[in-house]
Amino acid sequence: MSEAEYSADIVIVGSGVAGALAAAELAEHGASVLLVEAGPRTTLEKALKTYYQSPDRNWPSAPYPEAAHAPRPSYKHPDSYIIQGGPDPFRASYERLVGGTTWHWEATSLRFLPSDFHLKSSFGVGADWPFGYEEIEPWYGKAEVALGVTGDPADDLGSPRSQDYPMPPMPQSYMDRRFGEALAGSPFVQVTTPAARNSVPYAGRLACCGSNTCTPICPSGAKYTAQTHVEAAERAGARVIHDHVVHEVRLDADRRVSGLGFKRPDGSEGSITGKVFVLAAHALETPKLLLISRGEQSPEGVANSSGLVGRNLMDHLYKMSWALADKPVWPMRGPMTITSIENSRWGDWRGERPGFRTALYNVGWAWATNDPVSTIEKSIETGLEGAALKAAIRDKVSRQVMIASMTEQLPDPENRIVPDYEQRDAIGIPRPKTFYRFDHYTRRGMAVAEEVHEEIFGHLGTDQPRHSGEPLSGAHIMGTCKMGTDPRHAVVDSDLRAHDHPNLFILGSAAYPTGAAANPTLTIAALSLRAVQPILDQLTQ
Amino acid sequence: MSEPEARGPSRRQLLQVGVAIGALMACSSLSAMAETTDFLELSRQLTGDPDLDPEIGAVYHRALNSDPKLGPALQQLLDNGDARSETADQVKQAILRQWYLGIYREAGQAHTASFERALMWPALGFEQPRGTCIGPTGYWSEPPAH
Repeated sequence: MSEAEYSADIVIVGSGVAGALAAAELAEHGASVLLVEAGPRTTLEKALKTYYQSPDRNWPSAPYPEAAHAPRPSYKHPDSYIIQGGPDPFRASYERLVGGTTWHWEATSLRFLPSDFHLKSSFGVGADWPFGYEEIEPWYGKAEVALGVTGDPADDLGSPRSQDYPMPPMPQSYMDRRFGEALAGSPFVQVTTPAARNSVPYAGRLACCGSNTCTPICPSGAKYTAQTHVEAAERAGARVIHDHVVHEVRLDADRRVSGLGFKRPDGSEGSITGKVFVLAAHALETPKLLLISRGEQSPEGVANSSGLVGRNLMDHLYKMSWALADKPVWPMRGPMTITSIENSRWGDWRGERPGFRTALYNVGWAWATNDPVSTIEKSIETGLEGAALKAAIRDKVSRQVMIASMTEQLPDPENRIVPDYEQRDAIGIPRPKTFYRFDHYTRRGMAVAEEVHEEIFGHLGTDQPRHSGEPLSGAHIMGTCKMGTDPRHAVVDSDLRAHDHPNLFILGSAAYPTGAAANPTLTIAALSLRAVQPILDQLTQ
Repeated sequence: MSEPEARGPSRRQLLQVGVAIGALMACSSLSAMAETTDFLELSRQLTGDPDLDPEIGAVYHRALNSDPKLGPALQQLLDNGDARSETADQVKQAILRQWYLGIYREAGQAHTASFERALMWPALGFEQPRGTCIGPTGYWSEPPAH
């Protein structure tokens, strides 16, 4: 083997929130850090230019470059990369570029509930985490400071807090206020959704200026992206390289990770050495990388003595409903979503059906029917012109309301991602193949959510609501490198260290034993921060 | 902690597409400009907007003219004034779609002529296009002023 092109004490693969946050923290502790990204690097200015010039811009990946050497699934082309093994489609999307999927994330930053950490022992379904809420609570606080989370301390979100949010709550939209009046006294308790969007200038970033396009892109930088921590890592001395696709994790005779193999966009290969290795390439690419790293020491793939790498693939599945309110609510002004109903995440029925959260979306029918484009086109087709056309469009769009509920999906070892050696990407790396099924538990949640949506719209006063049919992907990929204390039944331990290899850590939502009914990013960030000390300790051993 | 001064994309950045359109305009002949004047007049009638951008109008005009079906119908409409026919209605609707969405089609491909000057934004009460910095934090708590 030729001499390695790159070497560092700590090598981190993947520059999304999990990897970038750890890179920044580790570099600030004085460690030598190399952060390796498969995809390209872009800037806010370039991404905005792409977005504004695109005639078809209403989808999460629209502003971002698509690289042949680092393909990614997207809502627009859902089956262009993932091979669907069925029976149900796995339609989650993610980005492959420096900063990862935080470029297009919504920024909702909820904590999990205490009960989310012991679903199995309390309700007899799913799995337990190897620790409880009290263990992660301080790390949630640190993650909220790191990302910059707004929230209202007066709201009961079911997750006790030992410190305030670092920023005041985001002002509610006119639409939120109309919902608030309509839901007052109902069982549906409206709260301000904690979100990593600046309500005031914070950490060198601007306050929100209400572009209403958190997904796909925030033009002001008020929304947190992992660029913040990529740049912090660089300032602290970390080296960041992009367009380097890691495709092999190499082991030495002692089954410690000795290095990584990577490919460049032209297909040429190179290698990276280090002392401690961290995989943070999200919950499809990380297990795929482990599984294709087959060698004498790892015939079933790296870190896979349990056979669980790639298994228990989960997403958050959505029911979306939309209607026309009786009176204007003026959507599409302010952040995409500011308030939500969270008290439907907990209850004694969790053994029978999932908890879910209902977000009140401030985007009209943008995601339901590609509005306002759709209403404009339909209004024009009716033959309207001039002032009458303008009035018709304004009347309809100003009354558009959309709400969506995100349900918990249980872990199932049969739901999995495997490398497809028969179908490879442009540089010869196997593409991910999913085997995936929406279970009855999730479907029961969908049915209850639809009833709840009808009731909520009933309180507001709308026409007959329309509902999405089959479950929609929340693009929250989780669970493919399960965390647990028993090496026979888990891939990583509670410090996110691979049971099989002491100098290998796996960050991100891949480690989740269960997915709860809360957006995963704040927990990803908390777990990354919590893993920093064990990673540093490993370096000195 | 320092507060950055920039507030998102500038108007200049948004108008970069418009600059490219201006370069195209320089090649236009006088007769084409006269026809574009007629196209703009028709556009004003259809949209009810007296303040349409002529450079953007030239792009829409060229794009519609190049359409094998709608091009001849547009010419007829501009030559003969208002005509009630299915094809004439299709041309009018195509013109309205262009101005409202800021998008034109050429050789089967959609292109953005002007994101910022699309008529949908003022029609919906937006002070600035959705996707840009629209106003100070909290402006969204009240309905639009216009």
